[in-house]
Amino acid sequence: MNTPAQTLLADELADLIESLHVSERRLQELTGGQIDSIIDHDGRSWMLRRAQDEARIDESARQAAILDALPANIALIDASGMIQSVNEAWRQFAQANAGDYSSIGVGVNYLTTCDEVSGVEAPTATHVAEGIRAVLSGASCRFSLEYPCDSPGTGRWFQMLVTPVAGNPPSGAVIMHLNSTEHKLVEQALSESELRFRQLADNIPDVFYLRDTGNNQILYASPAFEEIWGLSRAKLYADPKLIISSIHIDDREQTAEKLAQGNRTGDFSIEYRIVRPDGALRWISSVGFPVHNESGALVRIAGVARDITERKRAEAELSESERRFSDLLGNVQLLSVMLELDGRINFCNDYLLQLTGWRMDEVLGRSWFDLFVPQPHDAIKDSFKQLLLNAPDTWHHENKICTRTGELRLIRWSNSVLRSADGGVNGTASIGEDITEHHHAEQALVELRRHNDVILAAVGDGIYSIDIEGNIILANPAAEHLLGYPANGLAGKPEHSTIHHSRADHTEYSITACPVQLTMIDGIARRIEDEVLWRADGSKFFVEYSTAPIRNNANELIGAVVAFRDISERKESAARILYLNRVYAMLSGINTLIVRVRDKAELFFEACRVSVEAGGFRMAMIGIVDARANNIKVAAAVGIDDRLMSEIALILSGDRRENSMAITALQNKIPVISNDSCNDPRVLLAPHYTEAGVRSLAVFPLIVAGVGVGFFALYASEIDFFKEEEIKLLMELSGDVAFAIEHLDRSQQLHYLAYYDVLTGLPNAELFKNRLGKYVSAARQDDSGVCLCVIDLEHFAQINDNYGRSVGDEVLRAVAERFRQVLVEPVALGRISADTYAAAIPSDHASIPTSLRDSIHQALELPLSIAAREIKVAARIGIALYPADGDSAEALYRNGEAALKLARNSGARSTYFSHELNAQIAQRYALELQLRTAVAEQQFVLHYQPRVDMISGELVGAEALIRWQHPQRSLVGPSDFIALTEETGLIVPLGAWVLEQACAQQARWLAAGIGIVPIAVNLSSVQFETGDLVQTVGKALAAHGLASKWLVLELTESAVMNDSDRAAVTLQTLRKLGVGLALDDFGTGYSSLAHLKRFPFDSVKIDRSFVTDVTRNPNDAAIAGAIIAMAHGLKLKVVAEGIETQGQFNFLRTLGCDEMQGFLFGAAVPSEEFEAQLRSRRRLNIPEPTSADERTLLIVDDEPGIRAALTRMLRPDGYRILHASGGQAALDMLAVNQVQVIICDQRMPGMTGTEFLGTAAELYPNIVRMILSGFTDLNIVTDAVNRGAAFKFLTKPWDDNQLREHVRDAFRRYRQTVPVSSH
Amino acid sequence: MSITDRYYFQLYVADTGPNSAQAIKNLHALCTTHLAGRHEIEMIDVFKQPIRALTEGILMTPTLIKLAPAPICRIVGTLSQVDIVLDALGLEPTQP
Repeated sequence: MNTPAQTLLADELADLIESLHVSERRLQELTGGQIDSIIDHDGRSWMLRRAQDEARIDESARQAAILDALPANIALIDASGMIQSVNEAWRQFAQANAGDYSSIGVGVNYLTTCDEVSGVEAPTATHVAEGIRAVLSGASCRFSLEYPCDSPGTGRWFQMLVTPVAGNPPSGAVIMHLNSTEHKLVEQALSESELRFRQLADNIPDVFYLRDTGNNQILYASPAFEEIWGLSRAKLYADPKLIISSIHIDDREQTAEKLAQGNRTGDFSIEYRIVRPDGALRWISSVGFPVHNESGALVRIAGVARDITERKRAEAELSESERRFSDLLGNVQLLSVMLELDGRINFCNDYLLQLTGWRMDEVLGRSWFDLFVPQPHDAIKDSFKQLLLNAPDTWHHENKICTRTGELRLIRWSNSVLRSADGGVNGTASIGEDITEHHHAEQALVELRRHNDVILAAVGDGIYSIDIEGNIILANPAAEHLLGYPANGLAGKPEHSTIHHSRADHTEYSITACPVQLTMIDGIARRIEDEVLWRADGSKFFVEYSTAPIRNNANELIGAVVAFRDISERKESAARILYLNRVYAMLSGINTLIVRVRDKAELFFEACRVSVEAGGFRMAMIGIVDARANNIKVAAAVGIDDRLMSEIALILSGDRRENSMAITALQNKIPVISNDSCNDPRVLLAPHYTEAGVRSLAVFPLIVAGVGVGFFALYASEIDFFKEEEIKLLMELSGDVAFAIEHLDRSQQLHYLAYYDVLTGLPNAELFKNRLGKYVSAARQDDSGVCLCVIDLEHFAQINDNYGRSVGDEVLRAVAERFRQVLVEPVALGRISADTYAAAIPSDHASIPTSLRDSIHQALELPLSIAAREIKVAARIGIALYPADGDSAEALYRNGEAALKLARNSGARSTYFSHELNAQIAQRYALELQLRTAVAEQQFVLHYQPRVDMISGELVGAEALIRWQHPQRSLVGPSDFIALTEETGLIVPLGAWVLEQACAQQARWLAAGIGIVPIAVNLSSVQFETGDLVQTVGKALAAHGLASKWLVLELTESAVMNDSDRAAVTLQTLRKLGVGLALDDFGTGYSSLAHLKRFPFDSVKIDRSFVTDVTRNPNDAAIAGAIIAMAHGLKLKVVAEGIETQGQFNFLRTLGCDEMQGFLFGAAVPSEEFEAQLRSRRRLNIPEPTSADERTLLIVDDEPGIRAALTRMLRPDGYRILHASGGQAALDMLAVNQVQVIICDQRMPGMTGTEFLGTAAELYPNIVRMILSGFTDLNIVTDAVNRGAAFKFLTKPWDDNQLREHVRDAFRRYRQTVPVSSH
Repeated sequence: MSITDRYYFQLYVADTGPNSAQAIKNLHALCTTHLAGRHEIEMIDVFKQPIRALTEGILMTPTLIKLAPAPICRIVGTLSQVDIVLDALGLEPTQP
């Protein structure tokens, strides 16, 4: 029961509530139910009930819709764990799983339920409860758990998720259970499938892979890849090209192509080799299959790659062994064949086919017998069948088979039977060997043996064979006969010691050297030509034989066979022929000798020499009877040593000579022969001869006019040399020699007289020249040379004078002897004249002349001992060489003499002749000669060239110039002979003559009252150096009483420079004498200015070479000017030589030159003319200097039209106008005329305007220069102006008035620069 | 009022009240149809911003206030009667 207050309160409340309701209802009505809330004066909003309700309903409906839509079971719990709401799924699940812990609904405390779970699921529940609590407390923001839920019959998985509801701490949580069974199942299935896949991948050794066809990327490769390739898969995925690069270089291209193709077609199958990183090689077989996408396009290749290395190797091995086997079967030369029971061929090998010429397809299936067994073969066929029936397992036989061509081959067969499993016979298999050849060979051998026996018996040469011990096995009848043994008498005997024991000369023949033995040892056949065999009776005979080895089947040496032939007779004849040949050779040699020999000594010596050399004799000797001394002297001997010689001489001169063979031969006049000198008692010196190797000797007498005059002895080293033939020939020879002796005796006398110099015994001039001629022809023939020396004895005349003629003769003889000793053959010697000898030698080498010359000098090196005096002589030699110095003996000799003369003149010990020299020398000598004559006969004359003063033009002096009145030639100027006179020293007397003449002439004129001028005489350095120049000058002056001032001496620089100290002294002395001194040709030599000022010259002469171009060449002008200035500075007068033109004159005058000489005034003239000039006081015309006001214009242009035009235009202005057509002409004009202004055209042939003006500028700097040019030459012209060559340039065509103004201007300018009083 | 005038609205709503939801819907539709591209709506939940509601003197939700163009006018309700609303806003009912 409520209290009344409470009841009041309650009532108030109820009224309020009612009024609220009413108000709300009214509000709703008023607003048409369109408002949701109201806002009071505090701003507080009140949701109207209806809106609230609706809102709530909407909201909850929306939420419920969402929740219910979710597959998850969702429950909302509050902070305590109480389930506040659940979604439909939860509700349904709860219903379905009544009894399960999750089958709980609103109002149940979830947490409590979890806590209360027991049993196997308790830990899970606890875990869940923990998690929920954590979320509720705000400790974690979520909790999730996956758990299985096995309802009977189903395996299910759930995922639980708990999330907090907003608030801190959360006001509740949302629990969501999601049936993740499917998900889990899928997951399981996937991992299951993954596992299956991995098991596949890991355990299958092949690589399976997936490749994208578009980019070739490897999407997957199984682990086997790493095993097989040795590369990581990661690398492969990263770089698809890895596959290609791993392929062996040889297979790469092909494989890449196939792969690319596969990318298009979708499948491929290839085999290739790869190279692993470790270098190992593997064979890979790769197969690909296409993978298409939904649209059917090929997107990937699925492939399998297998390592087939082993298989490949096995294949290779198999094919290798197959090959070897087939090779074996193929190459072995055995036939093999397999036959059926009926004889049909089942198999045969290649060799059979080859041998018989059939092809496989022609043979297989055919009957063996029909094909291969020659007819008739029926019997064989039958026996074959029989054989098979009786069935031996193997048997052998031989039979013939025929080839396709019908040829028969003998085959030895080995056959076996082929049985089937049950033991029955199927066929045969046979292997056969072709023994046809072998068979033939055997038969042939038998035949051969038979033949051999026949031959051996028949042959004439001896044949025997020995065994390895050296014993004779068999010998043929001929051998037995030749060796003197009975039949079978040699068999078994030791070969070497029985028949081959010694050599021909009975010395032992060692068995080790025996060729027969050697052949048995080394198996080399030999042929021996010159040995002896010994007969049974001990005699020997010469044989030639050959040996050959005997080998057994194993190719071992088991003996030797020898075939020999008796060559005794042959040897005999051979020897004979040899001897005769020698004799013939000797004969020929000696006969040739006889024809050419000139003296007996030569004859004898040569005869012996030829006998030994050509005749092959051991020794040869000729002895001559000396009738007066009544003994025999050995005249010549060859091959005999001194000791033996003396023995022989002893015999011949001693008592025993009567017994000597020589004497016997002489006396009896027949030859004495000993064919076995060792054992011949007549040979007195037998032992000596034997020792010397002589075995036979013969002595032939030399008979002249029936008298024995000597003997010719020949000694041979062979026994039995001198047989009939030989003796006959040698007798003839002796006769020839005797004849030669006779002849020689007679002719020698004459010869001697005619050709030899009596005094010295040398060939005289004629014989020598004769010999020289022979040498020259011989040299001409074989293109070599001859050297001739013509020899003079120096100062021989003095020897004669000093010592007397007989000593002189002795000297000559001694010299000849020296020459004879030193200059041996082939030097030809001769005495040509009193003290002239000559020597000539064929010369094919440059050293020969020099060595001849040296030998000549050497021969006379030591003094001659004449009559107890020691006299020294020396040779002077002139050498001439063929062919250079003459083409005949005469020419050569002449030139040799010339060379000798040269040597004499030049003082040389020897001089070579040279052809060029001849002409020069001849000329020179001639000239010299003439000059000497000229000097002696005074063929000279003086001419005088005047010298004038350049200012006054007066004649102030003259130069005396020498001329030679040559008897044959016209007047010869000094240039042609002065040099020679200087060389020969003639200049001294000549120069003295000149001086004397000049003085004499001056004196004459003076005496005639003519006004004379000083005359200048040229002195040569030779005169200057000879000490008495001063005396000569003084003498000349004194002789004519001439005052010294009238004489001037001209000297060149070189004359003075040679010994300048002495020169200075001499000059000073001359100066003291009072003569004038002029330095000539100044500027041409080398001069030291320092020296110059030491010498007391009066004047300097400028050489003409500077004068010639002085107006044209600024350099020459400069030099001339410099010389003048310097000379003036040294107070010397300057004379210019060679002035020929007015221009040169004017120019040099301007430069200050004092005097001149030259054609301008006059050339050198004879004294008469000069006298006339003196008398007439001839002078040079000096042109008057032009007035200072004169205005002279020079126009230079090659075109006359222009010149004319300009002249026309400018003349009215009053100028003096000069023309020149070119630069040179212009310069010449300038030299001669005073010009103030030049107008010059630029374009001229030869010197251009600028060039001319440039030169003019140098030579005449004051002249105003203007250049006239067309526009095209502008830059040249401006250049000219810039260089100062021209002051102005004028253009063509010109404006008249302008041009005239320019010219006026130019003259004005000239005035300004040049002071009026210039010259 | 020209066709280029820009309309500024304030809509006061009551949280999830159905009328408020309706009002929102209708206002959007109206603006899209008649004031396309030249309107601005500010939504004010009176439960969330009671002071504002008070300041503006809002008594009931939903209430629409047209702030611009002048004159300011208020409309309470769901805005379901489109013509009346348009008229109240000064818009021609048939105006696009």
